[in-house]
Amino acid sequence: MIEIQNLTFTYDTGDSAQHPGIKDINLSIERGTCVLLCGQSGCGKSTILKSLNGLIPHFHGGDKSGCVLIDGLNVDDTPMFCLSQKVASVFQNPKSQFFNVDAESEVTFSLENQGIAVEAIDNLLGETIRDLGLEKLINKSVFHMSGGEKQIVAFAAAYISTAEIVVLDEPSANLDADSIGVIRGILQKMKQNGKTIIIAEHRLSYLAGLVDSAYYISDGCITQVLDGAELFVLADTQRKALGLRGLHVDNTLDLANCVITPNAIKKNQLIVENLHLAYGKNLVCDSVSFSADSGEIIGITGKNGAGKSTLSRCLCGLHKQKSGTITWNGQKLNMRQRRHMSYIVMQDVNHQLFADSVLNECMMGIDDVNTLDATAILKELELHEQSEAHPQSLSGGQKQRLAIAVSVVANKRLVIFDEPTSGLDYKSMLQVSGLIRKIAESGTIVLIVTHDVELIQSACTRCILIGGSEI
Amino acid sequence: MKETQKMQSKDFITCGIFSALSLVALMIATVANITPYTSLLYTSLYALLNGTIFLLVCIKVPKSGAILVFSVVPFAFMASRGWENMILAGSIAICALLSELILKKNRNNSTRIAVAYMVYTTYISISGSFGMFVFPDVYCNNAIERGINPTIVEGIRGLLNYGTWAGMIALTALASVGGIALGRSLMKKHLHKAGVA
Amino acid sequence: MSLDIRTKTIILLLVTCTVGIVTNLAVEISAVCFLAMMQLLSGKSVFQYRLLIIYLALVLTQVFLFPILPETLVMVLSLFVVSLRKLFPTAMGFVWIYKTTKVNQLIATLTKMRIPKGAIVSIAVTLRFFPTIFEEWGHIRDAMRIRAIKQKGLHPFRNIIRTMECYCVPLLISATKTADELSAAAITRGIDNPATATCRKYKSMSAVDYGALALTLILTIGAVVA
Repeated sequence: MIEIQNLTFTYDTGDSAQHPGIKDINLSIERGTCVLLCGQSGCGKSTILKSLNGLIPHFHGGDKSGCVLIDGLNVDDTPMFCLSQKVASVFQNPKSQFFNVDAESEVTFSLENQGIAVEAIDNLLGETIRDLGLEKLINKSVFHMSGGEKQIVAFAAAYISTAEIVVLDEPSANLDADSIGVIRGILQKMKQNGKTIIIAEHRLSYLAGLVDSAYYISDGCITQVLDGAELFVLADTQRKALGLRGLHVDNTLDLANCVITPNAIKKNQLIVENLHLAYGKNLVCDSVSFSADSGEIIGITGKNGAGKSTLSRCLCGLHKQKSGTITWNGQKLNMRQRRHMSYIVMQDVNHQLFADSVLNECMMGIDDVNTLDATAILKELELHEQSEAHPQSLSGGQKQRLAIAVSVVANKRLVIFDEPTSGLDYKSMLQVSGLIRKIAESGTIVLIVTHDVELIQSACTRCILIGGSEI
Repeated sequence: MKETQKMQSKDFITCGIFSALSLVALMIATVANITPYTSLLYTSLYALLNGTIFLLVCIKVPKSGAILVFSVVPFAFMASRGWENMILAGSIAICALLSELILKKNRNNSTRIAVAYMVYTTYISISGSFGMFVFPDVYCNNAIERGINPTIVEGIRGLLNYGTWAGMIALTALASVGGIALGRSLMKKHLHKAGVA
Repeated sequence: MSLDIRTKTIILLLVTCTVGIVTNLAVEISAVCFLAMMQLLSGKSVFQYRLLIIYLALVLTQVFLFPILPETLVMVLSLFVVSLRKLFPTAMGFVWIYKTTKVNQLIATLTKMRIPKGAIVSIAVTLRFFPTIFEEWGHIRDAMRIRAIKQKGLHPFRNIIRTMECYCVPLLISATKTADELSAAAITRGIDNPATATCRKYKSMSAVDYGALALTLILTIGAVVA
């Protein structure tokens, strides 16, 4: 049904460092099967997916050779709107794939574009809402939805479409365990309905039992083909060598066996007492209390909406607490003082990079810093070679390291990470984990807000569950 | 990628997004309308802020019709605000068309872009305060009837002559050139380096 | 009560035109009250009692306070109070339309009115993206608060420029990237299909619409003539 023959593609923009392209891909996918593309970041998974849904060559320019046939149609010769009737797509970033303002329009969007009759659309919509349990979600506006809900709507749009092929590019990247459960259910239903599913993913655990065959991609080529069942019984050592994330859902945090112990040089202590957080009249967090010492890395986890982000913003001094105190070495801190000594590495690092070069970013606004110090820190974080590059031209991981560099230069004693590893492969996750431990060693208190169990296990000394009891 | 000269969906979407930014620029510039004296600077401020956005539209969508599509949203916005703003709406249409004509020959030439933008901003500098300057007496009497203190109105009346109007238009033209220059320097410093434009 | 977008726009236009032509304060107050009533009829959450209160405060200031305050104070205040007051009919109308119109309905109506698809896509994207700008602005502001931007040794003017640059650049870059990603997503959903899109949410003008229009027209004529 889908045939990829000798496909080679290189992007023609300056992105070639981040997206090296693919070489000599030969792939054949049967109708109704579920195929997984896995591999490390930048290996070419997304490129293959884009070749399937037509974005390559119709949207992204580049050098293409070989051909992609979908039901006998050559992708190069078929206009996008025809392809969209055969291939539905779900992307990684829920924010920027939502075209409409409310869920219902978004779900029926692809059908409306085809000019399908109103009654037919109404019927299909009714079926979809029943099948996927979307009653509560369907009337929400995009501005009131969480990332997980937006992604579920994107899935619903793919489910309802007439397309028999669904292409998904890391759809679980920013989702919590509950949302992932929901999308697994939707994928199961899609498979039952006979849709062909091609999915590129890092987080593999939720796909167990769904995948028929898996292709491991490395440096733009398919290096291994595994049967779905084979993949999920891979030994841990093999899996880690391939750079893949955990294959089994592991919701138990085994911190008793945690090897990480705090290694403090300077003794600072942060005490949070009876913190109540609210947005206007809505109470978000109730009576949060904990303490943290220098060198500790504390994971903050919990369901979406439990108040993790609010808590981290409050600790940084960006949100005023309703009641409760935050004390640093015995001294109560007001918002301004908290802002002065803390830093948050945001989920979308693009919001916090301002300068026109990496070096300037480290030096901007910070008094008493000279070029030598800044360069030394950049060297430590492996950003030295990009000193003159624009922060926005760096890769995601590099941008994250730059934000961390800024916090080090500014001598921030409390650093909070907001979902630092969402969408990262195993190796990158370990890199981030190593980096976080390095920062903690210098005496900084680190808090990580995350859903990533593997990160918590590899980096955190302690874990706090918001919306439940403290561990 | 198949480059055609006709506007495609991607171009319409890009224009739509930049229209949203343009509306924000308009909102920021409206702050100048607090006092009638500073309101003379309103159009210049808008020209300055909008320059970067106009430039980005020209560069990212180098196709015929981009400016027209970019103006659709401000047009709809102005038209829905009342009869005085109908003149504004009408002049956006005219100025957008004129800009298109100027850019028809060569969309990449920086002088042409600057001239096109200068023409474009005249929509707001000429027709924005059309009522005020062409019918000053009606405007001032209205103001007094609405309750503004007569002394202040007399002070404003002194401003409402063709000389001030010409000055405002000239200042806006200057500001539009400044806006484009600002846009270019932002592009050079940041956007080119970031690989975004 | 739910009115068609065209009805609401025409009502708004009639009201703002009336208020623009007639300088009588009584007319303006009735216009604001009329729009407030429209808001209330459209739903409790639509009704902007806060705006109404501010408006009444302004009116009362003008009518009762100005005669008794000293001339110089009145001189300064009258400008602000009156300019602000003049905005209220338009503001009430806009909020009413904004809160009662679903974008998909707007798109469907515009499509039925045979407006070119490109223009409709642009308008839809603007409406979709506009609130996002404020969200991004908030994130950028947070990021700027958490780290210093201003340099101590620099001239204050340069610091202001730098602050503005720090707001603008991430916003522009985010806008450009969003444009790309949104376009890719929209194309994969068939937005450039030349076939006429289904106007699923289209509702033609009903008796209530015509009734509301007629009422507004009568009131407008009455206000202008009186």
